[in-house]
Amino acid sequence: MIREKRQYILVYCSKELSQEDISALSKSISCLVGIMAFKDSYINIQRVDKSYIIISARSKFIKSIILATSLIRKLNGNSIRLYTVYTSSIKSKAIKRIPKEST
Amino acid sequence: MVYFDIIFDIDDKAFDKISKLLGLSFYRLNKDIYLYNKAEPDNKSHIAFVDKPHQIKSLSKRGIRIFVINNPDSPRKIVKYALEEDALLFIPISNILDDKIVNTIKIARKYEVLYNYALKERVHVSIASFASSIDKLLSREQIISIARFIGYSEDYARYCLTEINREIIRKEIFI
Repeated sequence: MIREKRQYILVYCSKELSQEDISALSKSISCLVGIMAFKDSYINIQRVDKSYIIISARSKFIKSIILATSLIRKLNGNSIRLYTVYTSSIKSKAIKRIPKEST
Repeated sequence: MVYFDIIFDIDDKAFDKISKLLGLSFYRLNKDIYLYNKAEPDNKSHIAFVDKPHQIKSLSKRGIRIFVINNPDSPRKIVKYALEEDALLFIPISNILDDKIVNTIKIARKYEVLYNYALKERVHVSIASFASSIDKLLSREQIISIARFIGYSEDYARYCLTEINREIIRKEIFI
């Protein structure tokens, strides 16, 4: 089986995310994108900084995930905004885009 | 009313220069997100926000050539007046976002009709954020993804955000 390429999206969050928020976010994105991605095999969300997360998914879902991030306004009842900063097929490249002052 | 907008990709020096020249408040959320708040458009404004197509005609007489289409109903008239007045149209991407996703899809479809009709008639329809509140702000990548949703090709959306918007800033605001 040929493994499909994965891509990484660096996302800036307007509030610090807890583990609970991250699983809620995963569910919201999955619903919006229209895939059953509750298992880590499709969408994986990882916190890399207090206000930055990295979402990794199969390449074909990336554009839809970016659209989904612009539609999410609330998470666990609290308002939140997500801003896609950078996409790359290399994870370390995406992490490098985090401004120094934020770390 | 306060408008927030994400401007084209610029370096730090240019960012500070524009901020000083325009005398506007600029904010930076992170490396890729630039925005400024624009006070209520006055008589000197080069950009007009229009709700009805006939406003394009009346405002063109005052020398305004750039119109942000707040209401995409009656796209034929909008495009017709834009053609007659040689105007450039803008789609306020952030305002497509609504609290209800169903509404977002409805509004997006209306803008899609406008864009397709404009494309047919060869009228330039550029894109910008023009968010009406801080909640509706978008990053550059998100603007492009919504533009794709309403029918833009990715390349043209990127071109609009950089080249066309940069030209407008140069020609219209720095005169």
